[in-house]
Amino acid sequence: MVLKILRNDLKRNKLITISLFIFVFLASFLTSTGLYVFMQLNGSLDSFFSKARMADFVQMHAGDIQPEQFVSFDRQNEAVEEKQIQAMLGFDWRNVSFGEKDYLESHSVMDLLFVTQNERFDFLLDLQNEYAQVQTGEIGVPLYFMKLHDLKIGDKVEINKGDFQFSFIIGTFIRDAEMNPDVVSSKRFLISQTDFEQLKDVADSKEYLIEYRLKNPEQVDDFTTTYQNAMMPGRGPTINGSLFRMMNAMTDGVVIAIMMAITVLLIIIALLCLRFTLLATIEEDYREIGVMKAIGICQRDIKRFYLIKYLVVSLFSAAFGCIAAQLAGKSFTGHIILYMGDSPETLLKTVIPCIGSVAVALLVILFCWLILSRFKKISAVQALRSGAVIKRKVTGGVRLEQIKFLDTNLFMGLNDFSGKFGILLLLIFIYMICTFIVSVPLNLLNTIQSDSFITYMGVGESDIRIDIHDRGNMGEEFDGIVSRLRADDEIQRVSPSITYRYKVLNSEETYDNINVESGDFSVFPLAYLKGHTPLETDEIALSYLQAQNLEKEVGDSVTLLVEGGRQDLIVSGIYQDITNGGLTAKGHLSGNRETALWYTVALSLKPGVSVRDKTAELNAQIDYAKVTPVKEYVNQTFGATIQQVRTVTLFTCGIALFLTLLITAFFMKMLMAKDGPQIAVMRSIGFSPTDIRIQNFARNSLVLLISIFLGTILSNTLGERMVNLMTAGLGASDIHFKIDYIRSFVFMPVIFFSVVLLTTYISSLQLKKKTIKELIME
Amino acid sequence: MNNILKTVNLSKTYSVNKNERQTVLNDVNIEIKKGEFVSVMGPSGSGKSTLLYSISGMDSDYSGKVNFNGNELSEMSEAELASLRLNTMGFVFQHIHLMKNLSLKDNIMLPAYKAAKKSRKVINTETDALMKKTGIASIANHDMTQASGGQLQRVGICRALINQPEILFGDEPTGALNSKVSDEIMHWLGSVNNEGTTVLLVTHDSAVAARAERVLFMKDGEIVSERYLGKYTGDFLKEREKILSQWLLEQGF
Repeated sequence: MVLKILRNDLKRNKLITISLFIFVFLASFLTSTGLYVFMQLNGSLDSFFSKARMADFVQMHAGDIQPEQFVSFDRQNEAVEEKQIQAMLGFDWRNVSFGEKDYLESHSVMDLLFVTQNERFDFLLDLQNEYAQVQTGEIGVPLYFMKLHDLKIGDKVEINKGDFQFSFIIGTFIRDAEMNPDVVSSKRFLISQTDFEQLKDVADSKEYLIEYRLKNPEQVDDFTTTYQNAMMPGRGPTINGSLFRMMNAMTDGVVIAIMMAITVLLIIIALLCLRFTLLATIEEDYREIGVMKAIGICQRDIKRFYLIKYLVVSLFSAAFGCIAAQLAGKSFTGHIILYMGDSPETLLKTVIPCIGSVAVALLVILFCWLILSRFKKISAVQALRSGAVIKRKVTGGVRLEQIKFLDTNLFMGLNDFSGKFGILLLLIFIYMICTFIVSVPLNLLNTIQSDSFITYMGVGESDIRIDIHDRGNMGEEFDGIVSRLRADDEIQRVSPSITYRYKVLNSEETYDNINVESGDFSVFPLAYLKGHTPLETDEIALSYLQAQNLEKEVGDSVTLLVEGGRQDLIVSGIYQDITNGGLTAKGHLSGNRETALWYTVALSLKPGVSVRDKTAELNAQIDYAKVTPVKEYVNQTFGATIQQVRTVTLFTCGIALFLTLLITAFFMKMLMAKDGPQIAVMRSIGFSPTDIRIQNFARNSLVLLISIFLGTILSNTLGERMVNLMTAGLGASDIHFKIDYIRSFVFMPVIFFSVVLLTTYISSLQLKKKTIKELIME
Repeated sequence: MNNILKTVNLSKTYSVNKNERQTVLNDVNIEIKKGEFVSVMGPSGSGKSTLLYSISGMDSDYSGKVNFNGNELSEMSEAELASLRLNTMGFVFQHIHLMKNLSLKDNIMLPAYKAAKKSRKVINTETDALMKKTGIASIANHDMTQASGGQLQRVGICRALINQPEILFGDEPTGALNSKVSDEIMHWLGSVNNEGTTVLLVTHDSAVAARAERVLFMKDGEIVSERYLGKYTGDFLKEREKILSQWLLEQGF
């Protein structure tokens, strides 16, 4: 009998059952998929790092090194398990071409470093995650360039430096555990030892990777301090194992975080709809429930009849969600598998996602159980006598007799809105969430792609950026470049700066390295979180993460070790910077040019001057510098992240629109069933099905308008806050959304309205299926 | 007098199960003249309400013809039927069917606002007058829950009359009311008929039917007989009831 009740109920309320099925299925699918991607990411990272034999500590160094320096350091440090130093030959991007493209098309902000394979650890791997090997004349190309230039095995990579030409054939593509992520601005190319010897004397720069594996990797922070205090070579960034992990996981981590956030919202929506359905069912079946109690069926059994339906729907939808996740999971892990390789197939990889689905199903069932405890309150006598206790509507608000001009159908629609406000609140909430999950990624995407995003990279808004890595004795040459730029008629403003490395006293009274950019920052001002740009020579501005690291606030004093001793500087301001691990600083220090790390010039052009043309001109003039339009700088540095956010935006748009369609159909079905007799009255007095439809349009449009308004406010407040919580760890704690007004306030609302009104129209076609007589008799 | 309504071989069946169909109307042929007051009587399940809903365009899926003022209802679209109901018909139900979210006055005015044959100001004024005439002006701004059954039925009738329909249909209009209120309602319907509106009522109450000038008797989906009582002028109601009751006994009712 239970099966019969179940079958009949499912047949009678097809749309509602299907809607609930889809909500729980989606929640289960996303939970499972999110967990699957997480397991894959974790597993791939572990497997990748293990096969690559990652270093625990890496120090880049530009310039010469004395190998004997390391002998005593290594001997004195018991923490060291292994050490190696990898030499890297840097070539300017203008001298390197890929495939059929010439150097201009190959323009890149990345440092191109040519290396041989390491022997002890930090191995470059091929696409099978094996130790990569190349023959003489062959080259292993990083995945970044494979994707950027659509390269294949067998394509050429050529170095052209005046009289020197060298051609490689691509023999393999490289997975580089240290330099895979786009945010790392250097990329290693694998060549043979023979070819390395040939290129040694013609390289534009020579750098070293000083790498250590420790006996206890958790002691890397102490080791870093020891290394720096021993004044070991350090003209370049210092990175440890956990930062490598974070950088490699960042792009896909964003996808997982968004998936989980959407899952939580979906579960909330599913539970709210479930609550609505259950309460409506209890109201409709009030008398029947009373009859069942009166004839002796106990409350627990009555509850069981109702629970069985939702139990079946939940279990089936969760099971389908789990299976779908197993099948579709791979399509979300494409990026992980390409960059890190697949993770070993383990039982946990299958089981954990399924546990997620089961958890969703159990949550739904528990929720139903709690809602259905309302049965306790239904007395048999009361139910039989009076039926459901209907809340009486007391008329208030605007009356028809007060309406002078508004169309009667529009009035009825708006009147219906006010009469059903309690029920429609749920719909408003859901539409608001849908608006939210579209707006936040859309606004984030627009912000990353905007011109002003450069300010979150610690750089003011300029047109062109020139980066010059120190080749030794750059001082005079740099001054000459700056003078020529200032004299250029087409250039409006020029802001040169030089980055030096110093030692800074940290909160533990030891010294850390700090890169300080020195220059005039008032030319291209940066927006500061607190305070202002350093104006005096005894002032310094810190990046957000640097300030946190040193536990400094505006007005505090910071001690630097400079040539000639200690110098105390006052923190004038704190700014946002997500480059260089978020740890940077700006000041007016006049350092020793011989120890400068790099030189930078930001410049803006006069109106009417083409950025592209000027970039090409300057690239030709200054052949050892990287000249990049600022917009391209952002795109290249965050290309993968932008692509992922774009993918996520499309995905969340799709989910939101699908949810909107589903919930509109769900509510229309419920409301039209509930309103059958009222619709019959209207039709009997002369309202046509089209009139009823217009009323539905009016009501639903008002609901959607309110929801979009609230959702937009929420995304610009809470949404912005949530993004800032995620990006604070990267160095940007106060990102303000840059809104594309056309997309956000015209395009998206038009799409939402189209979906809602079309669904309303299709749902209301059922009006014609029943006659007025049938509706009245219900 | 011209016919306002005519049915030709009107039949309707519905499906009981896969193999069996139940006949509800069986070749019903009626003619209602303009300005007539006609009652349809018969036992439960005889098809009275089905007949009423079919000839007012509120039911479909029948065979035969229903001609209203020269319009064949089965050939009309939903929009055309809606317009017909709005502008030329009024319907009074047994159980009160009003709009929950509107005041009683707004319920009455709703069809007039929809039809927009007069200005809203005029509609407002006429509604006030109508409510005053029928003794419900004091509850104009109340909702459904704040009026008695008799008052609500008066609201229903006002709504049915607001657009000056050519015909007023009633499905047991006094079925849920006590005798005193029934009398008042029927008195009012009589005066509406005297002003030229055709009235067609379905009822099982001979006291109600006795006010009609013609009574049709239905049994098993067919009009089996009819009795002409003549125009009711306000006198001799009891005698008319007696004649009618006698006739009904002869029909086996």
